[in-house]
Amino acid sequence: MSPTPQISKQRALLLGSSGFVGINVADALRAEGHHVAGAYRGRAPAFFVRGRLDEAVAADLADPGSLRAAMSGRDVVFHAAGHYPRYSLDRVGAIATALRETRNVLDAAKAAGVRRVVYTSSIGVLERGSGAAAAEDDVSPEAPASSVYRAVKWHMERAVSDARRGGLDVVVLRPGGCLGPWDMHVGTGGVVVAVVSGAVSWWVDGLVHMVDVRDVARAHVAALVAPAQRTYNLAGHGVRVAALLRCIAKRYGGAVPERSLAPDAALARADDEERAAAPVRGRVVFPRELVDIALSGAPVSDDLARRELGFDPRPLDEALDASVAWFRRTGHLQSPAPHPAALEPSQRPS
Amino acid sequence: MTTHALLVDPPARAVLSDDQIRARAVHLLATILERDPETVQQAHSLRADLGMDSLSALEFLSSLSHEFDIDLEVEETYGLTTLNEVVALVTQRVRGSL
Repeated sequence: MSPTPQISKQRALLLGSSGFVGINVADALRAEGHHVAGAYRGRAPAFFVRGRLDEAVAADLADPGSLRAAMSGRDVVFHAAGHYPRYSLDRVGAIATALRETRNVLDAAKAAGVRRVVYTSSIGVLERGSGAAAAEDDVSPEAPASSVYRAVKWHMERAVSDARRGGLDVVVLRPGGCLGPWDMHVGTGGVVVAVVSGAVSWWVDGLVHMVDVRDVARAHVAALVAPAQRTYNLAGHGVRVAALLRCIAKRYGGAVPERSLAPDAALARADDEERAAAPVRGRVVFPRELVDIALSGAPVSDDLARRELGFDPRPLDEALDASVAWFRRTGHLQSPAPHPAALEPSQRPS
Repeated sequence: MTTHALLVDPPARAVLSDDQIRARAVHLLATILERDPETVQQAHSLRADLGMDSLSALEFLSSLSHEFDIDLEVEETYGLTTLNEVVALVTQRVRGSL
């Protein structure tokens, strides 16, 4: 990725500063000398962002007053805390929460007079394009009917469109599935962990897009100087689920069932597993939103971001390596035994 | 607006006994879980006995980090399974940071 054009040092408020994308955005902004205040919602800032922020401020997406106070005196707001429903079981509730929080953020930004909002969306809002690949305008006129996750993302972008019409400058970034360091809550990287751990008992094929979170973060910094009201796809690498799973197993170990489920069977299986997991807030290996994304997957173009933001995603292998390194660091994956040649003679197995 | 403030200043931390650190940790945990501190035991498993998920565990560790102004590394927190282990790590870090 080419260097960001020169811009005066910005005073930024980062919503979602303890999230996967947010931590990487904080690092990228501070590397360019910008002042980053991270918003936190609980009783204390997350322990792992200590020292990674210039400032930590309490703000809750459900509390407009706290947002306005946190945004006061900021040049720019990065909204990397868009609602991400943990399960795809409550479409009405998830959309209501997403819209309420998004409007709170955008209204507060306008009231606080910030210069720009950079909003982290998702390529999940896209539909199959009229051309070879979906471009930025290839968004369905209606919310996706069969996917809670995609509908939530669609509605949040609709709220952004309303705010733009009201005069707020919002740059929208739509990453593909992110891989890399600081995947604290095991997001897209859960697929990597599941394959290497041998926990994948079923899967469904389709086209997904994967991108290194650090390249996404750098695009956020570049968005500071993008033309007003721009939207950019940051899809990264399009890959079939079958190829992705087998690549992970071959590169890092693990196993993948030979055959994929048919779409209807996969949807039913994902729903069943989420219904079983929800009462105990458990995790599922193959969440419904990933099934939705794979089944609706179509080629996505991020040419505009490449031209205007210098977006140049590193190879998929590097993103996967970074993801595996991260999960070995956190203990989600075991470190491989060192090759005997790397051991001292006395340590080598006899 | 609330800013990130030091809740236990270094002089105060210097005189905290192990029991006081443990009591503060139990109080924080009980607050997060909205339960009576008397019902929280040192040997309790965070997940099995206290019903914590990964998010509430992160909130607990963050509150401890904030309360005692200590840095915790991601690597050392993932292996923690009981309140005893958490208190031992925090105590060690409080002593080491003085």
